[in-house]
Amino acid sequence: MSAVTELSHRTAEAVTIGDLTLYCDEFRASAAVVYSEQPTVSGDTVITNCCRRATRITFSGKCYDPEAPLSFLAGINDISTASDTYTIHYRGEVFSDCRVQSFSADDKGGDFFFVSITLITSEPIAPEEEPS
Amino acid sequence: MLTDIINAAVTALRSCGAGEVYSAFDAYPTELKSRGFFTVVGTGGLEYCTPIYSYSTVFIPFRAKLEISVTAPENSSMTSLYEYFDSKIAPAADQLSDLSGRLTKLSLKHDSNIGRLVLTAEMSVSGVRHVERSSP
Repeated sequence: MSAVTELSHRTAEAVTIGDLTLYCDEFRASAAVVYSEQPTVSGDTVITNCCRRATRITFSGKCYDPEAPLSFLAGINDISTASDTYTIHYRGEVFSDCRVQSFSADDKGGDFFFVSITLITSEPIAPEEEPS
Repeated sequence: MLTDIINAAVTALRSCGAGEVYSAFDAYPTELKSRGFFTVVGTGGLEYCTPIYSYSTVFIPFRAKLEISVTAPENSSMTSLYEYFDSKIAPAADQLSDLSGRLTKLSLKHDSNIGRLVLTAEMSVSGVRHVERSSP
């Protein structure tokens, strides 16, 4: 029974959304399928329809800029319009056709602040293509 | 397994220019180590997390506290020990610092066993141990 011990080395990866770059150390993706259910005359239930809701993707990280501490907020305004869609590359996956759904920026009195941005996309998440 | 973790840290520190770095488990007598400053990497604790199972492998995440002890030559001053740490060990430790591990504490003491000043830097590291399953 062989065993290998490896030390982890993770750094925050850059996520570029339009002109905004966020160094992300937390990530979350979630989606759901919604079913429509109807009762039948015999008292059973039947599923009549379903739809896969869009995927919500959240990138969270920390921002530190001693010159302009809240510079992140200026950048987020430019990308939060409903009509703009973005393609994001993160850790070997491609998230296409993403729109900004929400964001948050928390200043808890320290030197940096916590930022989080949630995007929504109805496109499937695909692996990044290997360069040929 | 502890020796794997310590050897990985020793190799990484050496490759970042930290000078003479030894493992605490190499049984090399202090008298035979460098007559100048030298560094010994030991461990202050190890904690395993709940294993993760796959078909052929069990993954065991762990966290460890490494103790990087920079030992000064006899009759050396605290200032020169700090200067050595600042110029050799701290830059190497900075290169190894990331989301998975970093320097956490620094303390200074006189080690009466070897009669020298020792500056101990605690470094937290994390990783995963891969163990082959004999039967799923």
